[in-house]
Amino acid sequence: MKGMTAMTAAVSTGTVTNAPTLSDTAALSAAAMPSLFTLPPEVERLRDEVREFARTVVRPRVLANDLAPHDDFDWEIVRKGHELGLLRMTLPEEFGGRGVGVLGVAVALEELAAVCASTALVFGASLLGQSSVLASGDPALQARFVPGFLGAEPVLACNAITEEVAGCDLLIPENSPHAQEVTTARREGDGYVLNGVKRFITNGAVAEWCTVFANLEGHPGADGLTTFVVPLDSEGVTRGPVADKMGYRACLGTTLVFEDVHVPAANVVHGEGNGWNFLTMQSNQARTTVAAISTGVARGAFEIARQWCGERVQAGVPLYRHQFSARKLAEMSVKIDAARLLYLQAAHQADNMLPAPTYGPAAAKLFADRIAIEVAEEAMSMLGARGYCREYDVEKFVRESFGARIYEGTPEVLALAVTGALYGHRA
Amino acid sequence: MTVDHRTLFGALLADDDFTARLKDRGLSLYFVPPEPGAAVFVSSDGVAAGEPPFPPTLRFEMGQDTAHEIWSGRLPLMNAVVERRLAIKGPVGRVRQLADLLPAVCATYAELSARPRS
Repeated sequence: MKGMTAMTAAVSTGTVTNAPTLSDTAALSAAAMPSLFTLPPEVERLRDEVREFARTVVRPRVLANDLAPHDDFDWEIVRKGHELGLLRMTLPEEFGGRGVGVLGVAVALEELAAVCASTALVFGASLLGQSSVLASGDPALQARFVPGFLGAEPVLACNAITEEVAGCDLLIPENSPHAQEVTTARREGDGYVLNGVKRFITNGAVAEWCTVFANLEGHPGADGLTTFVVPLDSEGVTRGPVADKMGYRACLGTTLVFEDVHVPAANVVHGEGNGWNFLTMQSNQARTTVAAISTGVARGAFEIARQWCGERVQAGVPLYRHQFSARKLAEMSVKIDAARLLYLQAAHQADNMLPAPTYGPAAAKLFADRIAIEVAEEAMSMLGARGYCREYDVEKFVRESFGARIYEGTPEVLALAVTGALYGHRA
Repeated sequence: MTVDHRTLFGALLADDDFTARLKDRGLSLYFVPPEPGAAVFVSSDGVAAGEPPFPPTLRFEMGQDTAHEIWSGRLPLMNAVVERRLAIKGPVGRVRQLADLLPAVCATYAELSARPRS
């Protein structure tokens, strides 16, 4: 029990130290290790600020938020994150945002997820919702929906794709001719009328507006898919029950019901029938940033195991000096660094190519989601009974590691995207 | 009538204000159509055909028909990207800096395309 006290104190006060990572150029420089990736100064600054935010603001609230009723939402974390600029990370600096691209978002979300993946997803899902408006290049749409993110009070957005009978079809290139949302948009007057039900929408319970994908009536399949920006206080919108999830309990996944919701034509993004094309572009951003979240989950679990193996003494030496534990720790560390390199590469492509290739983000997420589960499970087993107890956080990382394997593309969907690229179905 | 990039940007660079805006932003553009040998490089220093004299800020890969629709104001730039008719390579954040240049490009394009062919 010698290391137990220090470990408990470290976890409860958030003093678990972070090991140098392959994106941590300052630490690598100090260690005289060259890095392939040098983060831009503004991204390094953001990473350091988010790391501190995660340590001082998020960390002390993690356990309480995880144990809270499934429909509780911690606005205080969002408010403090908003003060830091996390809800306007991708807005251009001339708009008052932080002006970072996918790389900056991914690096920031890894930092959050290394402490709490739920919190990372709250901010990530809002940024994904915003992406339709930002990518539209439509100044009028931006003038209506961007200023909300610059006010004193935090505003969240969300992104609604999944339905009871539609989801993966929309993300598999081979299925795209048959892909169809049940949610429909009927042309009427100078706008559209939306009807349908969306499920498991992250931030749906708390967002101010939503990017909604719907099929034009009479235009089934991917060709009819169209993107709409819908304020969630519109008449006819009902926020359904919040899902009671195994993990990611601090972010709310909700049903959104649209009953004869009038949406002006000005709220269509990229024009009628461009929804599927936009969705595939948006998926590249989402998959890259979720790969970063999974990398963070793995890192969070690993840090606890690393500390534990440095403190726990067996047969007169710390656990990490035992070959069996050393092998495990080394494998975990290398997996995390490999996952990070993949998402950094995907983010770099997304920030420098329009449209970005699908291979990189799909490969990054496929790998990171898998190693998050492997590393978190290994970390839990290394802590023994402590790993099974809530106060040590590892079991939370295990639960959350399974979440990212489902949202924004299952391994099966990602494998099809990767092989599709390998065989030239998609560039 | 379509107008090629060399003619279009040659006319635009005759406008000091347009040239100054390109220069202030350090923007250089490289238009690469599918046809070999038809690429055009644009910077505040002028318009040149062929290989760029230095790495461009943004590289645009699109056919003449797509360019015609964009510069005619019928196809929003980002819609062309989403429809995969236009690929842009370079810092994505810099694409936004084109927004307030587009009206001048479209106006000049309209003027040039309305001129009778000589």
